[in-house]
Amino acid sequence: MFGCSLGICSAKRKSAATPPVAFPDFGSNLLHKDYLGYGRVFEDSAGTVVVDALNDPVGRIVDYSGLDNHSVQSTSSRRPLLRLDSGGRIYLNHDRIDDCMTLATLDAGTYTCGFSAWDMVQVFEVFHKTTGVFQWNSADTHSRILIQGSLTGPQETELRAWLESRRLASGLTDVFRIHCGGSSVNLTVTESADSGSSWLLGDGQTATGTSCVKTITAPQTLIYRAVDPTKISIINWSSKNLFGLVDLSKLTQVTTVYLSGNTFSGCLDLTYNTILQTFYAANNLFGGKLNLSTNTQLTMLQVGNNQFTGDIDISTNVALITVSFVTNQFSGFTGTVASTVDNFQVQNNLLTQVAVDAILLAFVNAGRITGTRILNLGGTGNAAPSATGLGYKATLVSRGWTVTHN
Amino acid sequence: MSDYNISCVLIVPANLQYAGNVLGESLGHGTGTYSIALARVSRSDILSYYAAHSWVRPDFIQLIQAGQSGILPQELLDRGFTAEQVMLFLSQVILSARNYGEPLEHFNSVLESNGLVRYGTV
Repeated sequence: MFGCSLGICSAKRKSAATPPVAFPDFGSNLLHKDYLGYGRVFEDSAGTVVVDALNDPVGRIVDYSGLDNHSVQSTSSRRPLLRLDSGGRIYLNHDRIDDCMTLATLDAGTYTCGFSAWDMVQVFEVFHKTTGVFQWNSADTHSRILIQGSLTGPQETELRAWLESRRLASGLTDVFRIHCGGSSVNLTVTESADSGSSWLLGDGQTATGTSCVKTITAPQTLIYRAVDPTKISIINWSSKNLFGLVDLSKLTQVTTVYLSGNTFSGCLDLTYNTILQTFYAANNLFGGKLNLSTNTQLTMLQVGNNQFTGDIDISTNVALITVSFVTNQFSGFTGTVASTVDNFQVQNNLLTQVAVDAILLAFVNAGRITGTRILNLGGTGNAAPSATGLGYKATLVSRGWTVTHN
Repeated sequence: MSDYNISCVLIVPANLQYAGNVLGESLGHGTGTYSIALARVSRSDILSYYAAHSWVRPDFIQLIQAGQSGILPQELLDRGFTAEQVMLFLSQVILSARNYGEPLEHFNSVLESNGLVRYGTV
């Protein structure tokens, strides 16, 4: 059974009419490439016990980059399981509690991750601050790619095409392909005009219109479709026991999105959501860099308690008032801060002293002298400001700011 | 089909995190088993427990039950652990095992029933 699932069946897929998509040539920048299958996954991190049954834990995934950068998990309790999705594809199933795969060591720097999953394909950058163990995002994937540095546009297009070839294609009207881990689904979208919304659950239940309320046996896949997704204005799905990868690219006219308190993973691409005003996604498993450059109308941003990396840059968010980056892995800061920003929480990150000083200076330059005026740079992980930074702090305090730092 | 079909939640007081991790390592389960910081609902600002979740086989549950009765596997005896040490440790461990449902739902229900929350959740 298992051998068929992993070997024969995948061979049949390859012989279908669609020609195989060639893997792009990234040269020596390709650091990890996996695709799950028999002989490619092991129960232990040393690679001595081959996974020979679905639902077995995975301690090692063979790397096909040629560099032997195998993904490993040496702690038994943190090993994901190997499972079969509804499309008949083998994937890595994380418990969304403590499971993750790692690379034993990776130099500090910027990398590009590529994921192929039942939900969608994602390509995104991550910043690895310190040379050492690299922890993969706990997305449930068919294949994972890691490439040193950034990709050119054509390279990203080619990589996406290859990753898409690893999964069953999404429907043209699919907006969200996610999962529900609870005993019920109760989801609603708000629309500005008829979007032609419909819902399809993995157990065959369906709904039409803006709401889907069903009793289910967890977990279930959930596909939300809209004929015209530009008519969707509000998504309010906080604490709905949802997980999987999130694709907001079709919601180009959405103004308010609440996703907090679920266990979504992968990256967050908000670059298509140019009129987004309120975005809450705290307490999830999102990772990678966070690009906010096109969200010029954003006023409220809450993305605390995720795994975001890299620099914070809110230069173009000229309407921003309240922002929380609490408990992530941000390490740098670039750009400026708008004078509208009144409450900025970034405690429990990995900010360097340069970054802490730069944030303090940016707030001095913003010149705000009214309102709540809270700036929190403290907590575990952030560096203390320099003497120069303390001078900026003094200026802010004289303007009525409450500044917390290490 | 795999026999890793039991969802197992283990929670230890924070002062026993190291001991729990050493025990896990001694049994060949690797380092850092107890990695999820928890707090009491009533004092969410104080880190007071660490938790782990794992899919396990029935023999793992039998191993713990034996340990609660003072019967240790050879791996622990070889490492110098005594039955008393392990029994004392296990007496302070919150253990929940079940073979149905989603692991996260299981984990959250164990936290709730023991008055615990994730430490540092915003």
